[in-house]
Amino acid sequence: MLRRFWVRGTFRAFALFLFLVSPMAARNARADATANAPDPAVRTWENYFGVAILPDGRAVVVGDQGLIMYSDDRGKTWTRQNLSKDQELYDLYSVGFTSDGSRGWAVGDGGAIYRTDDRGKTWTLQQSKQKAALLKIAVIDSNKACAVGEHGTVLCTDDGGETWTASKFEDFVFFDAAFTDPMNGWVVGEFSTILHTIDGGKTWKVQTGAQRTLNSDPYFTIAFLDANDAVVTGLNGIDALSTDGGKTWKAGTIQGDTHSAYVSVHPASASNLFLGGADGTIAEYQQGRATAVASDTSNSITGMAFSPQYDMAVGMAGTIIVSSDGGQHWTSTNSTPTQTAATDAQ
Amino acid sequence: MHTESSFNIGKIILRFRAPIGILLASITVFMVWATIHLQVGTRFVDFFPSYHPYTQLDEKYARSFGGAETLVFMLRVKDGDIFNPVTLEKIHDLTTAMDSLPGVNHEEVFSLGSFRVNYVEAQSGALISKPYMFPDVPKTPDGIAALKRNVIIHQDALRQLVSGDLRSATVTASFNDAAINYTEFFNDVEKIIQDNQDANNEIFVAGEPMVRGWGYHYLYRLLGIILVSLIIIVIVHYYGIRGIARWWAPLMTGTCSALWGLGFTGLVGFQLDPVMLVIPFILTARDVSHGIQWQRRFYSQIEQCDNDVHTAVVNTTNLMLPPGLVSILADIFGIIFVSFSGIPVLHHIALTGAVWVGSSLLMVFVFQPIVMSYLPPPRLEGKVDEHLAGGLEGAIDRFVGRFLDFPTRPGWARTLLLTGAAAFIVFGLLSGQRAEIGYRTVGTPLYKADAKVNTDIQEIAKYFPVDEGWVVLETPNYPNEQSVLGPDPLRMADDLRYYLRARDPNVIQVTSFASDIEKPFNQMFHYAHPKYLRIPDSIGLSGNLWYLYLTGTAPGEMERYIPTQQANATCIRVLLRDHTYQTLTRLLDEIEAFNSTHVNTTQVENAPQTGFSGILTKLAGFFQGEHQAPVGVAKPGLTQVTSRYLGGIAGLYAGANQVLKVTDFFNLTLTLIAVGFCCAVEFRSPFAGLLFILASVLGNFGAFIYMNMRGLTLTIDTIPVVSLGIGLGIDYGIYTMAAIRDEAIAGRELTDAITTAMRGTGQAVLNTLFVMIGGLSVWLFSPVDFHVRMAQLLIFLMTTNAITGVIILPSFVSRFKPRFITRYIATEVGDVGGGGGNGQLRVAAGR
Repeated sequence: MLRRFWVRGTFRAFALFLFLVSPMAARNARADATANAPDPAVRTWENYFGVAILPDGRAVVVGDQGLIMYSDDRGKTWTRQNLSKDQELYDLYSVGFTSDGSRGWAVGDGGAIYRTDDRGKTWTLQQSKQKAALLKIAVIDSNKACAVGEHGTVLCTDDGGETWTASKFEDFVFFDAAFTDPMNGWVVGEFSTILHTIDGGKTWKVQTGAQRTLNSDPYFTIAFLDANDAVVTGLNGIDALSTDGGKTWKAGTIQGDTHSAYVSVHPASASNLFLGGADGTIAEYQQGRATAVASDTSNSITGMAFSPQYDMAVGMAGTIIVSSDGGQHWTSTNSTPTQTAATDAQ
Repeated sequence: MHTESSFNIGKIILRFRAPIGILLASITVFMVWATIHLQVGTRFVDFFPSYHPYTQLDEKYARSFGGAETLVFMLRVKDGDIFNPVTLEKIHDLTTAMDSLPGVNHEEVFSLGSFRVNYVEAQSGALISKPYMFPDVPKTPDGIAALKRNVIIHQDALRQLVSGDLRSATVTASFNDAAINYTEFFNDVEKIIQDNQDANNEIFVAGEPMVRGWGYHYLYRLLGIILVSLIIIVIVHYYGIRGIARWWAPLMTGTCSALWGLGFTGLVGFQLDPVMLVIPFILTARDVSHGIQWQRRFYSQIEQCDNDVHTAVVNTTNLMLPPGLVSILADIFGIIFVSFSGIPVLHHIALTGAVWVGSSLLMVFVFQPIVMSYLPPPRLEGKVDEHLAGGLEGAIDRFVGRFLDFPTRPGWARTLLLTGAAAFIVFGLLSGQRAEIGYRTVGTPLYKADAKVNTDIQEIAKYFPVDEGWVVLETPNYPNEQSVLGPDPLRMADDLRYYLRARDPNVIQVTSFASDIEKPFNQMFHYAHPKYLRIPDSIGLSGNLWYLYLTGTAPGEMERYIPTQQANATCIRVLLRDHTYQTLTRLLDEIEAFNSTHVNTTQVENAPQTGFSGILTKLAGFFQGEHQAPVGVAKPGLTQVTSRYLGGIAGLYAGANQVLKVTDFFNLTLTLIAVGFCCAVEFRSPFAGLLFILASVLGNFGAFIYMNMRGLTLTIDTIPVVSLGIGLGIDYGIYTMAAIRDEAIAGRELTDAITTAMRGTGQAVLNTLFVMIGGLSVWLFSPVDFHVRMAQLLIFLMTTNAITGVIILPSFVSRFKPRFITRYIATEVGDVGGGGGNGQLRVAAGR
């Protein structure tokens, strides 16, 4: 009896010992995959494609992988939106707001269109019924907007984005659109194509290009300086100017820069035009001549926005630069885009 | 066994001493021949678990994606940036020199001056692929300024080759380790550095070949250390027994065992890594220790038997063989279980060590008695104890004398000691749970943190990734929509880049065909417009871009991304800051989480499912917590895509970490069970087995306390030494306990038996301890930090085991009177421990 007791006791003690030893193999179980997320000053792997500045000074930026973020302190800190609710995170290529900032749209790859009615805090996915990438949105008012993109796509809405009406022009890529009033608009794109509408986007007519020829380089941007003067720019500095309100266009007249411009913006309070483009070039267009200004970056500029308070340009490889002197000098924000908490889109 | 009535192994050995002696001597001579053919060498892949899915993944794609043996030169300027004629010329020269090193994979040499490093330029109607700085280095200010501007524009793509501050540039290459002669390689690299370094251009070098190369660089110093430590062992041993006749016998048997061990290593074709030389030394020192134990007992038997050599040899063998056998079995068990890790280098060490230690059983307990039996009785000048009183053993004797009655004297001191020992066991177990696996600093722990090899790695890691892991997507063949050229698999690869870089500061860059080729080519194909820096929206366009890239690049370049013409696999490279445990574990978790929302497979499904390897891998997964991982549900466009990870050097280390975690657990548990079993058999009591397990924990888990304090982690390098420590250390306790039992059998009462055993065996234990410490202390001066730390660790282990064996175990026996001892004592009845057996009868039948 006593012996059985000792045998049992020995085995129990041994089992207890193994129990004590066994957790050794479970140590260092797992590192916290979410702890210490990086917060670098410049997210060089991230590209920004569009920017808008609202009347109250809020800047809204869109970029790849469904990125939407806003800043209320001129780009020092940012709040990032989370669009991951079971949605494919497409790159977003353009953002535009109404003049009072009450409504805005962001468009991107896969025909993605998001709308915001609260100055960029929350975004709602809208049904574009398109798969083609939408490269630019031109916002006319809170009901009317047109988006353009690849595969000849021109999408317009006149009900605040509830429905989008598509127009197709072969398989051309359209890079930019501009409206001088709710009825008159222009679209530019491949093969030096310029389309014009006089009915608010319902119908479009070819003004130039639209011929598949090898020497027809694409137009990337269009902007109006006033009711008569308009500038179209494109690959490697090609351009077209109009002095009659967009009725006719004359190619190859801008002197100065030969870089491709990917964005052109006319600040409301100025008589000049700013072009942003390849290799970080920012040029000021004035009276038929483009003059480069210091941009503080070598990365391509893809979006620019001007406001009475400050100006902002964004681009590839985490580029965010601001100007406080009407676009004459630009400096990096050294921003921390991930610093503040994210909120979900709807 | 230890009585006259038992199986008399001593007599049997001496009866057949001629054939046995000739056989053993012949084998030893043969082993001399085999030892001559032993190769000092390193096979890099031997350091990683061969069956592990990470290793297998690496092996499968290493030829295409580049070997894990990568060398990096970093050239850093002190003033200005790299864009000056001298520095640019040096980058070019370093590239050429790197391409000339033996064993280099010529298709894997990259630098700003390499023709394989290109950018794409869009011109009207064409895409032009251009190298940055090949074949000529720009010399004019305009040319250099153009290069600088070009580099800045493509800086993110050149993240591996030019630092963000433009003051450093790298030249990298991968090597085939089978073609590397590490000594020549090291010298060639040093010459390249000397030839290209100047006042303004400093060169740093990193990579596995260089880490190994340093070991070969120190080879002769290490051999010198072995020689000096062996000399010290001889001196300590000689002085310890004051040159008493036949003092050389333990050294002879130790040498023979070493020849067997080294000869076996040569015979089976294993190679001896220079850094691992500390292990053969430990084994040799241990062999000598066993020999000393035997010889010391032989001298006392010679005295007791009035110089009758034959009887003395028989008695000594009968007395020493059982505890010796148990001790050596413990040694073997301590090392053999690391063999199951599947890591070839550990397997080699385990087999070699087992043969080596096993041979000492034959040498010390068979060959040494046979040699002694052929020699005339040693002429002892007076009593051995009196002779030794003036030497080291005399000093030890006086030292031990102070503690002789400690274990047998009841009181607070003994209670405190035993309580403290119990607390130490618990503390050791807790420290064992906290012992860390894998590397935890940048660089290699083999060398000091301020050693050149580490300062170079640390400097390079400031600006560039030094490790890389591979995630491999395996897909149907092109033109299937889910082939690697399909939009969805391409998007997945690019999404992983974004996912990791947005989350993990240790991930410096993620490169893939999708991110590095398809997207830029798609952009260039669309007038270089930035909004086309994205995945093509059709497999047709993607295939065209693939073809465009293929036709414009050097042979072998495509294989880095897509290894087959069928386009059914692609590599996503994750470039890491280091390969520390935390970095790798975090990365694996992140990849697993990403995959769970993209593809069907999980990490565990990649593992082998059968055999011992499969069990180990499953256990590794279990202990990693993978059993909790969700099984991913594939996206519609990825249902036929399999994501396999983690290849590359990071994968090899991650696999080793997982295996070491399981190996450590198995090794400790099995070794302790084996020790317990052997001791239970030897002392014929399960309780004795448990007691020795606890003694092993007490003596050896202090190693974990020590490792935690010194920042040591369990790695491929340290685990065999820690394992050896457990097996080797328990010998002391076994010898002491056997001596107490033998004294009890001889008729002494318990207190007297303990005191006598402590005086005799305690002396021998301390003598061998000093021999071990004497030899190990020389390793404290090794240029290899690993040796220094292991020597410290082993000295610590040997000391704690000696204290356990000589003081704590006797105190336990005196305090708790276990029956496996007291049953041999007629006048006392034990009150602790089971074991059965009729002690009274055995004593009566005994002496």
